[in-house]
Order: sequence, then C-alpha cells, then structure tokens
Amino acid sequence: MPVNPYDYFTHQLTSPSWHWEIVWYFFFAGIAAGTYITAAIAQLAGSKSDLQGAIRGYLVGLPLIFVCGFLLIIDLDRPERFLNMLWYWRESSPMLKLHSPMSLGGWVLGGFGGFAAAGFLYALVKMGKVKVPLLVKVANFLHEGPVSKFFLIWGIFTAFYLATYTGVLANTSQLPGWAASPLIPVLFLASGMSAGMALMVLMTPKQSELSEYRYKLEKADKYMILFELVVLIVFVVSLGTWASKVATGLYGVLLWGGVVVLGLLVPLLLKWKPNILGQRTAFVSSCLVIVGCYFLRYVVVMGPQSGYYGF
Amino acid sequence: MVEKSMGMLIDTSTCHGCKACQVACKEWNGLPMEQEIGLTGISYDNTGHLSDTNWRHVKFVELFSEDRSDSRWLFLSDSCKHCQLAGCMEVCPTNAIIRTEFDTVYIDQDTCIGCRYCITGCPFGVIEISHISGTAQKCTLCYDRLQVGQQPACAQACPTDCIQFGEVPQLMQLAEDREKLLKNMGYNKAQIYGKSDILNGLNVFYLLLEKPEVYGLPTNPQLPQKNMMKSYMFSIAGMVAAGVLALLAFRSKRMVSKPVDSDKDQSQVM
Repeated sequence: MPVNPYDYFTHQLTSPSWHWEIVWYFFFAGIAAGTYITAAIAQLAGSKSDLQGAIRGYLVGLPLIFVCGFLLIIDLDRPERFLNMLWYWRESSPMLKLHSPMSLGGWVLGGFGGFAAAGFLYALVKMGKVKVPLLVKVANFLHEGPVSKFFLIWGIFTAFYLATYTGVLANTSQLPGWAASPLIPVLFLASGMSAGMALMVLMTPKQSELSEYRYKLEKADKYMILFELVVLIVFVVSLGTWASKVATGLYGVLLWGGVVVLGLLVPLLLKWKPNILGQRTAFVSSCLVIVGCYFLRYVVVMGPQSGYYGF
Repeated sequence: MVEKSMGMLIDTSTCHGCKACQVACKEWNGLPMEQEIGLTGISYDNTGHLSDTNWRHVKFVELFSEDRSDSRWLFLSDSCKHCQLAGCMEVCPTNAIIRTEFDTVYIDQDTCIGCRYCITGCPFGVIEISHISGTAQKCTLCYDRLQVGQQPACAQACPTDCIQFGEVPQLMQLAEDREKLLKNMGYNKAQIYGKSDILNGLNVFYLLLEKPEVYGLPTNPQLPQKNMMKSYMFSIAGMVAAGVLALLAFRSKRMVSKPVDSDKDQSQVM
C-alpha cells in the first residue's frame, strides 16, 4: 500500500521532539514527589519509630528538584529566557495560565521546592547535622508544631500535583498516543510513588529499630507496584489503536520487558519471596522498580512522538 | 484589541499548484532553504510538510482509481489557520502566542522560550521550532505587511487568485457563493472548511472539492484542553487510591504496635 503523506492521524501532526531531558525530568519529578508523599504520610499516620526511618525520604526531594529545574531549563531552545514562564515582562505581572498545565506546573514545581526545602532542613535537624537554633526552630515548627498537619497535607497535595501534572501535560495535546488515554497521570503517580518508596528502602539502614518501618515501607511499595500494574494494563487497553505506539517495536520491548517484567513482576516476586536472593533481595527489587520507573517514562514520552514529522 | 477580523479564503478549485505563494512567503519573510532539497519519494510535493522554514506549503494530493487508469490532482495551499480557538495559544506557558489587532494569531519572538508545547497544541501540525532562532515559527499572515495596509505576500503573488485576502465575513460570503457555483457545476462534494463549527471558525479557511480528510485536514479538530479536565479527574482518583494504599501500609501495624517509651525521644534519627 502506498503511504499517504496527507493522512491526518499518521502524517499531518508535528512532534514536539521532546527527548532525554524531558524523560529524566518526568522520572526525577516522580521520585521527588513519591519520596515526599511517603515520608509525609509516614509522619502523619505512622508510629514514632516510622518517622525515624521515613525522615530520610525528606532528603531526596530538594536535590532532585534542583536537577528537575536544570533539566527543564536546558530542554528549552532559549534557556536564557526561562523566567518568562513565571513573569510576563510586557505587562509586568506574574505569568500564570491555569488552563496550561505547563504554566501551572512551573509554579507548582517552585511551590514543591519550598516544601522539599523545609523537609530537607527538618531531616538534617533530626539527624543532628544542623544545630542553628533558628533553623531548628523553624523546621520543628513546620513539621511538629501546631500547624504541622496542615503544612504536611499541603505538601502532600503539592507533591501529588507534581507527580501527576506531567501526565496531564501529555494528555493536553493533539498527539493521539498522548491524548487517547487519561490514565497517564495515574500511571506516572503510581510509578513515581513505587520508585520513591523503593529508593527509601535503599536508604534505610538494616537496624533492628527500623525493621517495623522497613516492613511497612516494603508493604506500601508492594501495594503501589500492584496498583501500577493494574493501571498500566488498563492504560494500554484504553489506548485502543494507538497502543501500538507504546506496545510494539522497540518501545514494546521496553514496555513489556523493561517495565512489566523487570520493573513490576520480578520485584513483586522478590517481595513475595524475600529470601530468594538472601540479603540482597530488597536491594535488587528496589533497583529494578526504579529502573522500571525510568523505562515507563521513556516509553510513554517517546513512543507516541515516534513516526511524526520533527521527531 | 481586535480592530478587524482579517483572514484568507483558499479556493482549492482554482489552485494549480504553481507554489508561487510558497516562494513569495519564503522571500518576504526571509525564510532559509531546507538543508536538503529533493522529492519526498512518494509525491511530486517536494517540501512535504509545514515547518519552521515553510510557513506555507502547497499539498499535492494525488488521487488514482483502483486500476490507476484514471487520476486526479488536488492542490491545497496550506498554512496556519489563525483559529478563533487556537490550541497553540491556549497551551503556551509564556503568553508568547497572542491575538493581534487583525484577529490573527502571532508568535512574539521576543517572548517565546522554545518549550515546544505549542507544537503539541496545534491540531494542524503547523508549528515547528527554528534551529536558528530557537523559537516557535509559523505563518504570521504577514503581520508586518498588514500593519502598513498591504495584503500578505502569498495572496499578492497568487496568479489565479485562489488565495483571497480580506475581512472574514466578506470572504465567507464569497466562499458560500462560490460553493453554490461549484455544486451547480457538478462538484457535489464542494464544501467550506473552517466555518464556526471548526474551532469556532478559522480566519484562514478553505473551499474544498473533496472531504477534508482527503487533504489531510482533521474532520473535527478540538482544543487540547478537551482532554485536560478528564485527565485532572483521573489524577484526583489516582491520588485518592495511592494515598489510601500508602495509609493502609503505614497505619495497619500502628494499631498493634507496642507502646513506645515516652521518656525517650523516638523521633531522633539513629
């Protein structure tokens, strides 16, 4: 069959040609949000011993947000103008468009940076690394004071938005592979949280005092992996004819092999049978979840762009 | 503030594919050549697509009968449609894409940051980033010429007047008259593409001889925001589900955990 160069769905749209910077940004943003949400929920709902372990989760968000900001800036074709995202120079007013997920996302990234910075400081205070009285007072006030619940819940909501808006951003487009299923944000959230929890497992020392926290964290990660698996299956089905963009060819190999088998099923098996690899089981399982999280973003970002002009 | 709603009628029934419009556009706007020149291999069309250096592109739609004994060429001089509901403008995070006093859609080159989001917002595949300026590029409807009372370069160069420039309501009346004439001549599929049913109206609209999809035009283009609310709704559902799962894991043992020694500050990290 001759190729019709004017077939609308296959040839007339243009790819934004987003490449590795955006994939890594989505990946790091998901993990930053996942660790913050897990740490904050553990602090709010868990026991005091949970907080001893979960506090390490607060160490992740801030460095990753700096990396995210850097990636977002270098991804621009005019990086020196990145402040235009936040300020409209022509009218000397803040630049915020609620109906543009990218515009709102830029502000939320900054907002989350504030919560992540406060959490980072709190973790350092609790670990005895920061002893400046004012900083100790501020960190404790925000995380243990009378408004701490309000503060943490707002932080959780901000992190949730950061984890999902990248999917909304993809959904709010004309490329059929991105627009066909509204489940991309949920998928990114589930994978960001499972990878965040996996990273927190890796960061937790094997001390007997933290065994209960570690057990709970691994259980939460197991729930999240199962959740991600279910969402992923529904996502591929909901893509309909556009499923071929992510589920066949190179992207298909990465999706089925890299995400489903290596990133979800093998970690689940390792969590179900924790003695298979002895002491290294949790380490291997967590590493695989994190790698799967990256592959998922690579497939979902790159697959639907492929085949279009400009890619 | 919109003063007049200016636009174009592209009457494909009189286009003969000379590409004078494409050349005039390139000349007036100083658009560079492509890095390589050659046929696409699947059509006599040698540019293939709108791009940062082709703000106007003449489509060569080559139609053949099953046994290839009969053939027919259709032409369409394509460009930005300057939509009333412009997807590119809606998603642009910096307000670099604005509506001019002529009711056209214009990319402010001093504000654009090259984020490429507008590319995903356009349902017609019009915009591309220039590797020279690093900013989004598309037809401006010769904004600089409009400001001094001239018509766009493509309309002026068109030897068959298939590109008609003027005020949109008057052009629409012209298109409707022409559509009737074509139907009387036996072109039963003649139709106007770009009335208010398409993104609230296109300022650059078309009189077609075939269905829109034959020319690679979407039958029912939508703003990208069409998906946004649904996406946010699913996000909220996902947040609830993920939050509950995390809570379940951390709360389940809390009820049965041993009471901690209250004299010891358990929140201190070991």
